[in-house]
Amino acid sequence: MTDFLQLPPYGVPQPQKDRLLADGLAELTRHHRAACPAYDRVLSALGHDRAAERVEDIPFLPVSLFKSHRLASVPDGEIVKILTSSGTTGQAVSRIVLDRETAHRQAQALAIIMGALLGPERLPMVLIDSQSLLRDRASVNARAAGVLGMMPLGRQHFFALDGEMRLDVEGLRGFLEKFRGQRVLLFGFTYIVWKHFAPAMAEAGLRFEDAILVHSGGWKKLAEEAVDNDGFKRAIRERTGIGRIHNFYGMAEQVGSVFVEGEDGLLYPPAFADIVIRNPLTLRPVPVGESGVVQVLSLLPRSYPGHSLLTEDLGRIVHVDGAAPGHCGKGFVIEGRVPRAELRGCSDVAARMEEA
Amino acid sequence: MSRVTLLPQGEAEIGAVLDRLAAAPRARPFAPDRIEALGLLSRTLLADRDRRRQGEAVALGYWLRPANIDEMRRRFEALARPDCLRMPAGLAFHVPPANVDTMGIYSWALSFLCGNVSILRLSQRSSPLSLRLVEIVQDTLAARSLADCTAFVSYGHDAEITGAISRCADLRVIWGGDASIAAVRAVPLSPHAKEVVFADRLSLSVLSVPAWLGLDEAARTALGQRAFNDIYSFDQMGCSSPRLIVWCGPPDQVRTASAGFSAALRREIARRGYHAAPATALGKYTAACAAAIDWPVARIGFEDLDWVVLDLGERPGRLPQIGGGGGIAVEMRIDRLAELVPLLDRRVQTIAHFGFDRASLADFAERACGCGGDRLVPIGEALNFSSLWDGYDLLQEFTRAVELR
Repeated sequence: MTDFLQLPPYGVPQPQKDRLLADGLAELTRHHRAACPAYDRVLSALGHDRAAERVEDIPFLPVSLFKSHRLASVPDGEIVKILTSSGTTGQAVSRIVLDRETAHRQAQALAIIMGALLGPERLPMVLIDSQSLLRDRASVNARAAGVLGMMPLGRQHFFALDGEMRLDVEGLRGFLEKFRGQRVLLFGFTYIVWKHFAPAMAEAGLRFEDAILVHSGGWKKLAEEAVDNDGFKRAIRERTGIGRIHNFYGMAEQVGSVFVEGEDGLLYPPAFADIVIRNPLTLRPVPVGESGVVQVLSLLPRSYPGHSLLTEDLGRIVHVDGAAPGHCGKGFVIEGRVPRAELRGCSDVAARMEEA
Repeated sequence: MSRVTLLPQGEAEIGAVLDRLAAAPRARPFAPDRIEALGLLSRTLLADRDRRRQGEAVALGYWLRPANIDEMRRRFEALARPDCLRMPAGLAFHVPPANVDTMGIYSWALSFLCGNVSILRLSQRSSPLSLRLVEIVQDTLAARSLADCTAFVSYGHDAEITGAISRCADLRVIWGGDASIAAVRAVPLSPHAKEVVFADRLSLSVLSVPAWLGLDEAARTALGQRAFNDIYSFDQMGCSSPRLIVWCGPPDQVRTASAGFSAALRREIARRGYHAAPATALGKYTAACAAAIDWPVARIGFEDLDWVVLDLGERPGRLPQIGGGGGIAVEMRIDRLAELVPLLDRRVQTIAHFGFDRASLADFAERACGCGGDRLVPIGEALNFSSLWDGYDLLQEFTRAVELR
């Protein structure tokens, strides 16, 4: 496994990567089948008897299975952390069990991916969130996990928002003065950056000189406000002075395995991860350029059978090995969530039938 | 103080609404003017061009047609005895489900036929079809000067209003699921009132393997069409929608029968141009994987996610309950109908059957002895509403027995 983390994250051309991934993922499939009986039952029922030879033949679990079932490939005693996905109140959340090894691999992987973006030096770092998010460390939600995961990539951390999501103007002013002339790193969730950070920055008249913002968390709320990636970047630059802005796509079910936006605005998998786009009805892979449901694959998960997951996101691969030299792989866009279908019926109304 | 929305439009104090209903005349069961009003309603529904496209509204209009009402009257009168007169229960409080648009109207229509005065509480998120149906009912009643005996209301989370209605009601009818029953039941009912509730249920189909194999291609296609109606109406989320297919016959023939059945169903899916919405399709994939963990599923079979079959490798200790909807079912095999009996429980509502004669079905029902399986109906009729429902004869439930000697 360490082999994969030694590879240049964006330097492996797709044909070569396909072979490496197919082997690594097949090994993980065997590992999880042996270690997680529930996973083995699903694969047997789906008819996966032989080792898959190609990446697209690797079986995939639906990501929401982690909401209804606790799937672990390690004994309870080895679990060091349980991650939960962010979900609105009342919704089921995913529970992802991590042992020391997987947690370590996740951190390593994230450092490699971000290293390719930020360079080898750790930069002074602004976290566009509230420190109060991090209170409980044994069971962490996706937002806290994101913040905790990113923190080791910077130094001299400053939390820019208070518990009420208001900008700490004086604190930030101090931070800016202290690191004047130096490059700084910012991390935050897309909507929080948009809603709670950028407007307050403009209002306070504070600006960054040499800064790079990394953000993630989905576009659903921004899409409702008709804000796309370009509009987001333009507005954030204008309001905060931040020059470089990179979105990334990732999820609690595959922490560490993130897809960062390249210079061309497309998202790219690192060498140890990939995506496949599938037709939502047949679940077969679709050709490059066609939209479908995103399957994410990663060599990181060993403590839970999450190395190949069918998400509920729609996406499209724009090109393969088509970006600037040195940036290989599948360049893709995320096109939002699969639209919810409200199933009707009489036994299903409980959630909606208001209490008397 | 406690204001409610009156549907299709308006607003009123709940007290005033209840006063009006208290003063409204009741009628004898199957009173001619009420039968006639339902006939008019049936004609209006079947003629309404917009509604023609809505299968549910057409089914309701068809169910309300005079021939069917007359059939109900005959059945009702057949139960009459010389020392007993049936009289209306009084004021009926109906709580229909939020998302089967026609259910409340069926409930109301039976209550109306029985001579009651009714108040229906509709969801605040009622669909345009629901609101249109309410409007048509109100217009029809107004045209026959019967509008006073019915109120359609809607209100938010307000146990006080539910309480005010429940104190006046002689009969409370709650159309599930379990959570709404629990919520409404927490609100006291007048001591002399009675309650009829429809809990969450589980339904299945049972087919005789030899009978299926004896069908020619055309007959298989026709049965596939009927099965499609059972499975795909209401996105399979109705209490009566089958989620389990039981094959009764020898093991070596079941695979052929099952494959043929799926093929017939697929022909109908194609003919109708049905396609699961992406979220529904993914929901089925998730449900299938979850079922493989929770139940002894030997095989998840699908050509595409429009129709997903989960083969049980061994017989489970109880009937599997799976998630998803819109075209997913568990399949299992038995040798004789009687083998299904120990798997039944109170949750089992509809058993849609094919290929069994009346005697074997009656024998099955007697063995089950009321412990599940309240409706044994032919495949294709699983979702047809009837005044016999969930083990109740609703015409009896919605009336009182007055002894006379």
